Amino acid sequence: MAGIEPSQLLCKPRRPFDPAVMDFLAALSERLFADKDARLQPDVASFAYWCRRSNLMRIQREHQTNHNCIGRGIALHIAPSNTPVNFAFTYAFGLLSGNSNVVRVTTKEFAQIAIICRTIDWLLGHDEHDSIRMMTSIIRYEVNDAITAELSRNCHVRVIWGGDSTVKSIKALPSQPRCIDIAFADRYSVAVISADAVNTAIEADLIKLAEGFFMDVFLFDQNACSSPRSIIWIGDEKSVPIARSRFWHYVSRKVESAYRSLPIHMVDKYTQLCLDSVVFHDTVIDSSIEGAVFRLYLRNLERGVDQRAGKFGYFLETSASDLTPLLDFVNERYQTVTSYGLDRTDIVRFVIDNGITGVDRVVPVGHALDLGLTWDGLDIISAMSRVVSDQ
Amino acid sequence: MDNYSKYVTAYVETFAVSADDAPGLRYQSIPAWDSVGHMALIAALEGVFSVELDIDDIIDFSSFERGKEILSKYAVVV
Repeated sequence: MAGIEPSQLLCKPRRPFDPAVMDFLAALSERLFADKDARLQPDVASFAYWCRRSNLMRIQREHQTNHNCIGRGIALHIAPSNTPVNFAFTYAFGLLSGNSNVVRVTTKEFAQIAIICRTIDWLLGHDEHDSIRMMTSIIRYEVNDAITAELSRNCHVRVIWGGDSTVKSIKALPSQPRCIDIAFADRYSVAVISADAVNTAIEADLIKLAEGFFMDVFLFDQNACSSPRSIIWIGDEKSVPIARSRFWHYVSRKVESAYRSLPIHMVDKYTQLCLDSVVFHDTVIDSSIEGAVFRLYLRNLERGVDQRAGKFGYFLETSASDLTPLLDFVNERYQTVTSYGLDRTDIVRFVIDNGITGVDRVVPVGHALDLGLTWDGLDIISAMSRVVSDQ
Repeated sequence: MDNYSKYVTAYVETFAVSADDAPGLRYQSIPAWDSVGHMALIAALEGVFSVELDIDDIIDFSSFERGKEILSKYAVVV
């Protein structure tokens, strides 16, 4: 798809945030923003936005890299099939941490993959990026254990996306004893919204909130690990009903204008609504279907709610006066909390002070899909590099 | 080029509008300034003025006029 054959990769790791890598990624950002096809794809734009020079410099500054730090060698990335642009992020993570990279992209056809690979290849054809060409091999093949096993034998890090089943099958393939596996399992995410903040917001802010929520959920059919599946309203019996009706009014309007649900997905959501009504029958308050948005409002969320992940616009909702009820059901499967109208540092403190095993990330609504170098609670640069100690 | 011209040029190049139309623009007042256009605009402005905008300021960046106020927090006088 882009770059050279895996067997030709140069195994000569560099320091994290190597200037040649920074120049290459910044050039990739500019080139993508200038590309008319790329501008039509919000997720490609998000990637271009992430690898703009100012953001890379911020990341470098915030990352307390040990000066005697170096990449591990060759990284094998198994990119997921649910979020097409993820392959570009994981490739960038590999480069930034100083490694050469074999990236296996999904065989599903996505315009986003074609656009980014075309742009990477175009840049790699220029002399100033020749050193990056020797670190780049983006390939595509049908799921094939023999090929993945061969690639696994020759790498120093495996970065495995795609959830529990992919992680299991790749981990079963032998790698070098020193090879490190960074595995991203299936996760569950929620939105926590202040009813008062919604009730006092002006219309322009509500439109923006609905847009952000729409992006978080519908860009990938609610299939991304970080897309919210449940919504926890913080407020009382007066404020929450008003906030819910305001919020869903604007979300429904956005969904109606920008999202089409296939008939089969409507049936899936309807089936899940019926099943969940039975599973949670003790706590159901009401249910609602409005266009493509299916909702079940519960008195409280309970353990196991994360096993009933909604897709294509399906939500469980509940309300509480503060965050305390989260302690009853949040476990290590919980990844992202998208919040609105609440202090994010308070939520982070709540997680740490209460010793919760889950929640790795608290971001504003609209930023659920912003992949970053701290993911699933892991500092990816540190995980993909090593320190040469002199002590 | 002075800061004001640079500021206007970022809008002109990102949204393909005329320099005369730029000052009245607000988020979503034209199709080009949607959420994707917003990212392109912020990337362009950060590049032009060598600043790194805070995430809350990026969300708050809702119009041509508001943008000038936000940039002033970063010692960029437009």
